[in-house]
Amino acid sequence: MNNPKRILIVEDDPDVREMIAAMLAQTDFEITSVDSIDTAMGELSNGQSFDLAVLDFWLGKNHSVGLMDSIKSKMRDVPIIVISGGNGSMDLEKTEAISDISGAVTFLQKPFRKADLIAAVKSAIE
Amino acid sequence: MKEGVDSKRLMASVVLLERFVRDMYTTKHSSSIQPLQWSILRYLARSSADRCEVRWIARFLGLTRAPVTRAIATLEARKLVSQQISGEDARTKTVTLTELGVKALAEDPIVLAAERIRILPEIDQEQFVRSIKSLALNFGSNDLE
Repeated sequence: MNNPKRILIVEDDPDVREMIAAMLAQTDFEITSVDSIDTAMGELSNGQSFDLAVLDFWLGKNHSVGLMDSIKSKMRDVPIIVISGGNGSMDLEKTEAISDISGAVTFLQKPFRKADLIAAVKSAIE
Repeated sequence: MKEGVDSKRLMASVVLLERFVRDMYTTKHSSSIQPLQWSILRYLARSSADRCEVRWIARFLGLTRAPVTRAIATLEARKLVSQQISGEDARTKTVTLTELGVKALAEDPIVLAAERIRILPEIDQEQFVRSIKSLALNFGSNDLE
């Protein structure tokens, strides 16, 4: 039997974080969800490996580009899905372009549908 | 004193950057489609139908609905997009690319620009991507516009 794929979710809004975890829990993925860049960096420093990362672009007032760079430097082939509803100071067109430069495979605009998230995850992993 | 590239060279580089982008929009095939209209065409090409309403397009581009509505009206007059009343709400219209709109996107100025950058040595391409990312992260805020 294959090991379940491991997914890192980084989202500071607890409701959205739980919603994403719930959406993906119905699939056969093993979920690690954290609420900050520091905690996510801690997971990476502890030698945890993941098959996919789902990151909110804005975590509080900070963007997650440094985290994307760290994930890519430690696990070059790990696909990253970026989600964002914007933060009022940077529009989503720029946010998506920066995410693409940083190696995101998919950008989902909040609010997104469960079907869109699962399709993006399956497309990234398979 | 802050070190860095000589001011004259820096200014000259920005002049060339501005000309590089402007020249992309003045080729014979694309002169009549404005940058905002191109952004809308690109958005429509890769978004699901339920997100192709003015409110979603405006949100994505960080604009109010008025300029987006005007740009869509222009695109519709040129038969590059069409609008249909949404099935769920009669007050809402879904915007769709027409065949002509899809055809126009084949001549998207940013595709031409990317092709020109692609010709550069790989190290220059990487430096370009890194510089643009850094610029966007430091000065990408809409508050500055």
